[in-house]
Amino acid sequence: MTNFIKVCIFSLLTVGAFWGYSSFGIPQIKPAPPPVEAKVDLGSMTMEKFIALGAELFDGKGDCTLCHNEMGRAPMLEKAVADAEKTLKSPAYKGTAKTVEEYLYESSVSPSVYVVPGFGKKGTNDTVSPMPDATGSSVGLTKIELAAVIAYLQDLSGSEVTVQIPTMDASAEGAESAKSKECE
Amino acid sequence: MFMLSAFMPAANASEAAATASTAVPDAAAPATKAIFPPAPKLTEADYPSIKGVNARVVVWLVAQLHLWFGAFVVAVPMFVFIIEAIGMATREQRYDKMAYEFIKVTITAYSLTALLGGLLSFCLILFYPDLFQYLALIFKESMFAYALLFFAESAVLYIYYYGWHWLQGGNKKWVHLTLGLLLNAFGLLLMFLANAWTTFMMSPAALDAAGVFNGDTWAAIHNFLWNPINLHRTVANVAYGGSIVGAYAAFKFLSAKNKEERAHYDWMGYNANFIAIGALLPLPFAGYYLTAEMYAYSQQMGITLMGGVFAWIFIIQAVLIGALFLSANYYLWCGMGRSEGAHRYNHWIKYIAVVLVVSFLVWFTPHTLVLTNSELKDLGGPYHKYLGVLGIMPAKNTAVNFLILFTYLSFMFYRRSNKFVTVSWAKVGNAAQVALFVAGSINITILGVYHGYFTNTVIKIAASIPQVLTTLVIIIVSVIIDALMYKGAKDVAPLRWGRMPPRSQYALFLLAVSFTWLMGLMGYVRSGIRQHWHVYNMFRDGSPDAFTPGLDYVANIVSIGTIIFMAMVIFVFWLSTVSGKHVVSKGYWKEQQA
Repeated sequence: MTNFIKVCIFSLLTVGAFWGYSSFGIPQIKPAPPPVEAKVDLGSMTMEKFIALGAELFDGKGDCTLCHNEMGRAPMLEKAVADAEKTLKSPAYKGTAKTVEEYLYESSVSPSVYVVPGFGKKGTNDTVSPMPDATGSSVGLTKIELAAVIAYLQDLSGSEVTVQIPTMDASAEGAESAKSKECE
Repeated sequence: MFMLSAFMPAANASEAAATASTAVPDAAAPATKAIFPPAPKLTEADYPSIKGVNARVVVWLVAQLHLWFGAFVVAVPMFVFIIEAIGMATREQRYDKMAYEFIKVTITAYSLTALLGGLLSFCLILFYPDLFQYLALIFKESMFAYALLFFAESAVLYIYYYGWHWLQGGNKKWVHLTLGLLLNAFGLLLMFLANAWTTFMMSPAALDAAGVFNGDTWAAIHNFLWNPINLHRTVANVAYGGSIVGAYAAFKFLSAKNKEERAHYDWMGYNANFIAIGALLPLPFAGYYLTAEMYAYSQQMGITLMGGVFAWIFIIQAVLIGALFLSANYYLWCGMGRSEGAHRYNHWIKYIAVVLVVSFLVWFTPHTLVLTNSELKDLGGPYHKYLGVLGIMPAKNTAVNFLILFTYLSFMFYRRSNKFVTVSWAKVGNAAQVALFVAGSINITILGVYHGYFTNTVIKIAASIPQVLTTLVIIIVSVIIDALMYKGAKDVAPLRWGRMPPRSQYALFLLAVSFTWLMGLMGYVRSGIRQHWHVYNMFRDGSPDAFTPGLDYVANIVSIGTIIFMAMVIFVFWLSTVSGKHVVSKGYWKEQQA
């Protein structure tokens, strides 16, 4: 019986040590709550607010900074506009975008159209991007949200923001098209 | 694998389905196959609730308890089969007796596994009916096969156990061994099927953008993370099973009434520790493979796992694995006391201990710290000036390779401690082994330092494969040299089984408890990495519990689960003890007239 009690106490102390270390010895990070669909009030939207929304999405729901950071997993985006201009002139670029805005959109929804050298999936010789479609289910940006992110990137690069704030009609159209896609 | 092959259509169709089996939307799915519903879009109201019951916690605990017992009952028959075969080959009955004792413990655990599996199904149907229905439609064939296999496994297990003393000698023993093989085949198949359901939720296959399943059963089973999880769980289960029967042997050793009993359970504990450590050594490699595949499947998932909110869990994991290695080594060092010739190696132990502790410290050194502004200012940045460099993955890879190598060295010294080498080339053999260890250690260090500090982030982990290969080469070549060198070696004296201090047995308990807690924690990570998705990126969790919990919350649940599990395990140990007791109650029964 003594051994039984000793073993129980020892086991409880071991569990307690692991519990204590995990609860008090490790910084407690409160994970972000599940993302919710932000309601965008397009009626009162200004370009300043639209860029601010893009910045929020870039750091939050878009998960962009998970890879686009100084760790080197994906290209940095502070000079996204200048880099895009270079890419559009490059003979290696085979996409359909004609403007920086179009290119940024294309890179977000079809990242493998053009993969920045050195950032492709391992073993694909930079033909396949590891980035998911920003409007796909894993990230789930809406068209309006993606437009806001592109506006933010243009602003971040110190360039003229060419993205137009979507109108209420366009927003409804986007929602309708998403709804019909769900029903297909 | 014959049951699984039944689900496989013609090779080409299967391959085509497997090719389409990614989370990438497949809008071009044939209309004829669209008999499955899309992934439901649920709200909180869609989840039944019982007042005062937290559905997620209940499912979490029941699933984890089922997994702990399941891991144990899948693993034990594997080494029981091997031990029985060794007994047949050597004709030493002690192996047969030990194998029987191991399987005896499994019988009760098997019933508990089944009960917990049933309870888990009820909980899922009750609290997550839409999710259960969605998965059951996709996996209906494999779920039916699972039920059939479960009956088959139960039948074989009972014949195997109850027929142990009947199927002895000659061909009967071969029949018994074959039953053991069948038992393992059924057990593993059951685990692989259940793994498919789990991994489908992590890396769904053959789904279109709306979550409509458009493949066949094999496409759903053979999803991206199925094989990595199968490998990882198989190896981990063996290590875990070894640690639990080690705890059983330790408990019996401490309660032993005489020398013979103590010697028997000491020997049993040694074998259990050997099994646990033997499987623990390749486990980090299986873990790396699984993680690499997660990255390959979804970089987002990989980065969230290793660099996001889950990153700190790997520091806790390092502490737990460090505890496993230290306790296993400590047990081996204590075990050298059984031998009269151990004094020749004892002075090396302190150096091994230093390497193990330093490697352990490197392994759990964090890279980035969560700091307040003033702490950040005092530290001069997010990384510590000196210790920050030890936090990166190549440093940890280097440390874990040294942990493995020096654990092997402990074992090698233990094996040698009771032997006199007799071959003429012993000095050359020893020199070759020393050269192998030194060259290998230098190679592991250079690889770690070069890739860790002289390459960019993307290829920092490129050192892991050559480092692992170096470790494996050292161990395999060293085992071959040792086997040849000690062939026909003389014993210094008979091993004194039972000559172990009681504190050594607590190392076995530490091993079992640490393993249990570790499995609970990593089980949470595997499941939690889906974050707010039931089926990753396809079927969103709309319940109130869709949030990712903080570490303290996770630690609470894992600790409660571990305590419940250990209590149930002690109950299993107690049952196997009382089942062997025969009390003669004088005067209770009527005297039988002749």
